[in-house]
Amino acid sequence: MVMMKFQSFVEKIPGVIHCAAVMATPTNKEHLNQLHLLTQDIADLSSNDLCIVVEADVNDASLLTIQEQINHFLDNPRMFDTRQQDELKPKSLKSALKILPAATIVQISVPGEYAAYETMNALDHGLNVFLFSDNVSTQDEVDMKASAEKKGLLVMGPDCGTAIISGVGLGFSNDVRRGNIGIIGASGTGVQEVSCIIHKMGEGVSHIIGTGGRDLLAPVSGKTFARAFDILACDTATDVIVCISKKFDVQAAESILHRAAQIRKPVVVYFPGISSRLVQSPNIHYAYHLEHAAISAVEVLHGKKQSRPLDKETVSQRRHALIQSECKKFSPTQHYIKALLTGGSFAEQAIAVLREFVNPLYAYLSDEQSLSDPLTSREHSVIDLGADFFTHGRVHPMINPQDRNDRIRAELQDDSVRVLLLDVVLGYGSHADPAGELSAVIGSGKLAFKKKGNYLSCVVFICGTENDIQNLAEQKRKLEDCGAIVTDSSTEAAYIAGLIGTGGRG
Amino acid sequence: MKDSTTETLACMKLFNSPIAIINIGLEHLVEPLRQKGVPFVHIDWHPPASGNKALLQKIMKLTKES
Repeated sequence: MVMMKFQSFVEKIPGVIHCAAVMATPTNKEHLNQLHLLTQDIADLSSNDLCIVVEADVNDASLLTIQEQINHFLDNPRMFDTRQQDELKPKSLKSALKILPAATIVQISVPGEYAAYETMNALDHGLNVFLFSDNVSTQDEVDMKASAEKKGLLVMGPDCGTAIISGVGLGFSNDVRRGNIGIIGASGTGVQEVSCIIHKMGEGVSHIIGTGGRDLLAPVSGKTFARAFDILACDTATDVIVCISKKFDVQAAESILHRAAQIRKPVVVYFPGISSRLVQSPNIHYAYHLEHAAISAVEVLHGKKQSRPLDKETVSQRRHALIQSECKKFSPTQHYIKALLTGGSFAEQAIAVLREFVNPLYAYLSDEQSLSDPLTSREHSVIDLGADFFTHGRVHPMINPQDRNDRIRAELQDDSVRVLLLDVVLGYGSHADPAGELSAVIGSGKLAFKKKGNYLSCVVFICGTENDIQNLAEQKRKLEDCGAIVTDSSTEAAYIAGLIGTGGRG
Repeated sequence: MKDSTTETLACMKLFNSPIAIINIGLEHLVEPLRQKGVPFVHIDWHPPASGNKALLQKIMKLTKES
């Protein structure tokens, strides 16, 4: 948090474009090298040294001011620390357990290279783990989950974005109603969207168990997923189970489906691209996208038949007037759709939908990198700004939107942009006013395009509920006031962007 | 279905007992806990082995073997 505050403090100094404050570990040095910011001075530092890199557009005099302000912060860190000073802050897990012996879960968000050590330590103390940290090796994940299995404990993660256990949210989570739908997800923001739609439909969730994005891939092979499934199968508060995984090995997925076929509870499955013929059982309901998974869960809970998923034709008809109106405003040189997203699952969803409209579609996600340079988009592009490359030594854009805002401004230097597809994630853990930050960037972008005789269309998906601390209605109003098209479904947002991007024809 | 295994029953305890959290890392992640009155303790974390990765690997190896 101190690093976050420091970065934010420095980036507010006039002339400063970027600031990175990271430990000079070999991994961070490599990352700085990729960004062409590794100097000999930094290369010579040890892992215990803090390295501060500032990119600025300044003259010698203002450089001196920046240095003075940085030194002022470093000399007086407490002046910038708004935390309560009287809270008990133990320095070890052992001491923490003396204060809170009834602890059940350890929530870990330390840098990836230390995550395995802290997780193993928690497991050795008989505690379950919610592991928010990313940049953890697959071997470490296998070891942690094997150790948890032996001890009868649960490791949710690594890179676990969200969980809600008995109404208590961990990581990024939305304030959703408690209810009878249990969710297991290897897909953080995807699970957040599904829980929000369930809430909007008047139902609620019993528990959300995050597994980490690689859980259903070899060699982890669904260790947490299987355990979570067995728990929800036995849980009396759960009547319907929803299983979501962005990526999976067919064998691991099949094993979960066989488990599902052996219980009486309805199970809704969203494993993108899996064949519904793989395992057939009357209680298994296959969903075709995130919104469909949420709607299906509520339908089967009510004993209703599963409805058809939202598709291109439905969105085209439902939003016909809006799409036609947008398409009339572009100049002939505007062609491209740019999806600049903070949620990895929303980026996956955007790729699946936009491939119905355009080809080629370039992407930069944690595990799909057809875009060779993540810092520069190309033609139609989908970029997950929460991918490891962007968050290494930086704060996730759902927490601090600065990096995404800068990226949007940079992309809008290109006059051939036609549509921006963006997301706003509300809830605990997220920025206090993400729409406020984003609407300022959209507003100035639209104005700049107008001055050149062009038009910029912006489609924004909001993931949140009316109970979230950011005030959903207010967030929506801010975006609509700056001329953005706002939806509450990532699937619909991507279809609208695809239709506008291709002249309404699809 | 292994719903009666010891492991699952042990895990079920987590879902049937009051939640209390120890937080290591980003301090703002305790905000929802504070607002909902969930018991928590935040650890004033520093990198183990003073950030010496080689030493940390050795500690982890020894812990794994013991």
